[in-house]
Amino acid sequence: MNDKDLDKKLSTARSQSERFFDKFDFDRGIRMVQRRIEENRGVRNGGIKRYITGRVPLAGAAAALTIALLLLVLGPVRHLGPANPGTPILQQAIGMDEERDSHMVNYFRFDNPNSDNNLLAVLWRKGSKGNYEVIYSSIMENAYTPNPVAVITIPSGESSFAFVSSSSKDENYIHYRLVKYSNSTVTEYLEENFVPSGKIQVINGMIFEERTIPADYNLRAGDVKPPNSGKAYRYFIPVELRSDGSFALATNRVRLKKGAILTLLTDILDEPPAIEYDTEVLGIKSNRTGGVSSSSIDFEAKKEGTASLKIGKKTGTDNANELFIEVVGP
Amino acid sequence: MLTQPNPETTGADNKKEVLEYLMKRFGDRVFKLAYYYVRDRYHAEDIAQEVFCKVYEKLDSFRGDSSYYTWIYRITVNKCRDFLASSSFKRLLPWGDLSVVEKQRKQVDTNRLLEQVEGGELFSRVMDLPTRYRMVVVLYYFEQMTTVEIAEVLGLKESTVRTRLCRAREMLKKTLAGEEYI
Repeated sequence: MNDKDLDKKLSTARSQSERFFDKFDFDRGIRMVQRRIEENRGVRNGGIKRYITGRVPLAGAAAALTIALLLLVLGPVRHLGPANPGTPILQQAIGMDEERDSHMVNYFRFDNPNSDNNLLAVLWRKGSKGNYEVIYSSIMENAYTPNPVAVITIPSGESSFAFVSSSSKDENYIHYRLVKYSNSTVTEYLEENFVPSGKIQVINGMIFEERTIPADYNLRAGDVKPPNSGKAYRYFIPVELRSDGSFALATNRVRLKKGAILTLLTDILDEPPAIEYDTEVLGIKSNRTGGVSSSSIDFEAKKEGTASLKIGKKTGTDNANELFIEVVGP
Repeated sequence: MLTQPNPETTGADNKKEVLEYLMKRFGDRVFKLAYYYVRDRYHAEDIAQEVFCKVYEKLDSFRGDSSYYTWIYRITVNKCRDFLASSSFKRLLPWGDLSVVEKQRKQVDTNRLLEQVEGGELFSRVMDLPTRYRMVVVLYYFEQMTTVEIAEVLGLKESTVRTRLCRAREMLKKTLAGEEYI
């Protein structure tokens, strides 16, 4: 390759980077910075005591210190027998509104006589006085390893999503939950348990699931059952109905493997969105309520190629949002 | 129309005004620079916010030896380097099993894999370069900075920037040879 060719490719790379960054803006960041500055000013004015009480209740801090000291003295006792109930094995501060560490997720381990290694995931919201209240909790049975929580925000949207997941000890299966937080209200968008030989990742607002499936996982009525099981890929994209009546998507570009399922997750029960798409590349699999989420629409990536999926309140409306889809070979 | 407030005027309100101007003026670029370093949208957002908190804190001591742009870029570079040098997951507090941290590291690698897909193949190839080479390439070719500006922002000699650019080009030629993306 000569220099001229390389310059041409670098110019294309620049265009791709511009397209990539077009979907981000720093407007939300500006508000966050302003809040953080205000908070820090409060901390300076209030001294160290205010600093501590502003974040964790003193009793909680003392309890955490005691537990930490006990763990240091006693060593990793949780591996010797049933875990100490009430001891979080993973704690992560997350921001689900404009405040940086507005929420916290704890995973607690608890055992029962029949089954070891259950996990309880608890989502807390920090109150104005630094106290925490539980706003969501979920049990993951036979789960060993808690995974870090990912927060998904929809660009120009009004909600945040927390994605909570765990794996079994031998990683044979995973559990996961997607929880929407909006106007102090929590809605569970997605709950999946015992996903066999599964992997899950959150990337740029999209959830990507891989699982090992029985042969008939993707079959529609009347399809011929294939002889072997294999991998199935599924992409979940949260969709939100904004107050201006338009739909917002957590991402605007997605590359799907052929045969994969694309699921748009919504919580809109009364007004299902109008959707236009290229029927050669994509096929609708189901438009359901009470499935994997309160309301979801599944598409199958039928054929390699590109497609644009428009989502709006009515067909042909100018207020539609668009998802660019590329289907590639398996 | 974004007008630059007078930084000579003192007072908390003016400081806020200057900060807001800087965030509107440079916020997107700071985010991009952080992304070029860390290749993760959420970490990049976090870093960009930290940068402007730092800018606010240091605004009184900014003497104007360099432009706002260079000053803020330098702060961003330092924040990104700190981030990469320290634990990537400073807000994560594992109480027990350290495999969790290892697992998250793996997840970040996978995140990168999919970020690449999101950005386009050629952009991804550039982002695949080792950080020291990637940064000079993106600043020079994507952000249209001169080698002198890059040297100032990254704290390098200009000759080092030029050398890295040459090496990065050679690496890209090898990587891209025989592959058709356009």
